[in-house]
Amino acid sequence: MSVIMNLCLVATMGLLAIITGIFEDLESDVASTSNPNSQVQLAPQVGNRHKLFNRAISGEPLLVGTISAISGTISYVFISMNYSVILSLLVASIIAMIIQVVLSITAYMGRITSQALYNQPLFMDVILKHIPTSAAHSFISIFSITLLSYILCYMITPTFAITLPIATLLMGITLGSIGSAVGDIHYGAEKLYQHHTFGSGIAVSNNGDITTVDSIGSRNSIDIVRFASKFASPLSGLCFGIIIFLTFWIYIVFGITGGLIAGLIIVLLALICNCLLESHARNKYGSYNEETRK
Amino acid sequence: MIELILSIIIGSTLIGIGVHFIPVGGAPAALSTTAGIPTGTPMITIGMGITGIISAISLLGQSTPIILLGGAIGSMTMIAITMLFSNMIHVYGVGVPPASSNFEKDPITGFSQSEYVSPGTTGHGIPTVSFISGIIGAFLGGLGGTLAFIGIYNQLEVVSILSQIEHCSIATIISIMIFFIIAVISSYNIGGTIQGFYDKKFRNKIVSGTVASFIVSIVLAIIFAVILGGI
Repeated sequence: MSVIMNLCLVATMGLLAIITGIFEDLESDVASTSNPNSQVQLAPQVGNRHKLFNRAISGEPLLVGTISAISGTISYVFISMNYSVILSLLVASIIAMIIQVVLSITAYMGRITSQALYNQPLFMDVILKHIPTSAAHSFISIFSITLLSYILCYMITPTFAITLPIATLLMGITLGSIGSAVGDIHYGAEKLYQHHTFGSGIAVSNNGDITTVDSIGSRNSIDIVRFASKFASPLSGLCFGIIIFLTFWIYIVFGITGGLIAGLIIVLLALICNCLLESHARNKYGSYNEETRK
Repeated sequence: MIELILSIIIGSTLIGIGVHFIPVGGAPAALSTTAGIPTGTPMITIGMGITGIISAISLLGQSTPIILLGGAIGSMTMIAITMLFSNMIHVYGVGVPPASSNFEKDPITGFSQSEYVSPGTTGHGIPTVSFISGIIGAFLGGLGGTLAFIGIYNQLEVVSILSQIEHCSIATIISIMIFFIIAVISSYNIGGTIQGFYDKKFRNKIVSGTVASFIVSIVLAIIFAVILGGI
């Protein structure tokens, strides 16, 4: 019975991981957190004034890890005081979200005012429009990750020997790491440089020449969220979900030794898939030496 | 105490070596300007190490070799799936094939690289040889991180009267701290981007990186031996 219960819980954790992965990546796009933000920062220096949100507090894993750990700590305190679990997680997520909003506003103002030398204005409507969107996405992400960690710490048997704040910190850092390594490519290499040729990397000479206009006036980061929600963010969520699911699933289903062998087989399968993907991309797109690419 | 010091020294050095194997492109890789995993070296190393530690914690109570292997395989799974999905976005989202100008030809698949690198860039995505290098790096990093974790955990079980959950939490925090320190030092040594063991840069950097990690690991081992000895 406990095996079936554990499998259900691990499946729920995988589902929550997918949701939190999707919304974390969307949040990083609307608030422009990760690596592509270097280009948003660079744009005014090469003469491109923009209305994109610009926040770079730290690396994405550290930001998500810190905010998740705040949420985990607060919910741990509430749960220790025998408050209702769902209420504790909800209140903790809201408090963590408010802290993230404060960080976002101050980071945006700090960044933009430091670019006054390059005539980049500080738009109040950018703050007013982007902060609620960013906050909504971050709330769903923080709540899901805290709930996921709660299931990991309190519900799975045998007990996962770790406290809730540490579990949220671990999950948050891993999530940020994956969101940064997977989802942001579509934002940085495609949407941010949409007026450049599709199917090509961004040449160093084009750095900073980001797309600042859209179909109805100036582009803002909410346009980017809509774009990212179609492909990059679901894929980031799926990546985090698969990792969380497989990490626990292999040992529940195959036992300890079988789980280790299954883990190795999964790694080999990923390697084979990557080889096939590489060969498929080469055959489909052709080389850059051809006069017209397929 | 000797076990703790040795496990931190060997673990940290293994992490230091492992980091150099991971193909990292940093911020330019997020713009498809260079090949590799599109995030900073410390960021992906810490994410990978933590997945290994989560795996190791779920195997707590088993024999030490099993826990070590579990940690290594957890890290390998994380990095393999992340690199695969990263390549998927490159291929289907950005429309570029994985290629790097850091080497002429992929020794595993035999694919030539230079004509598939878009003009003005040094590559994009993660070619197969870099992918394999990443898996080797994750194996070493995961093994090292889990070794340090187990050493600290066993020491706490001997000297402290706290519960198992508390020991595990403290050991996790200290292991993450080791990952942060070693990853940042290796990141400085790498200096931007590296495409794994087949990259020419790897041969120039690996010796100094290993020596630096070893020296730092001795300092870390002494500091943590004092802290943990006093609990």
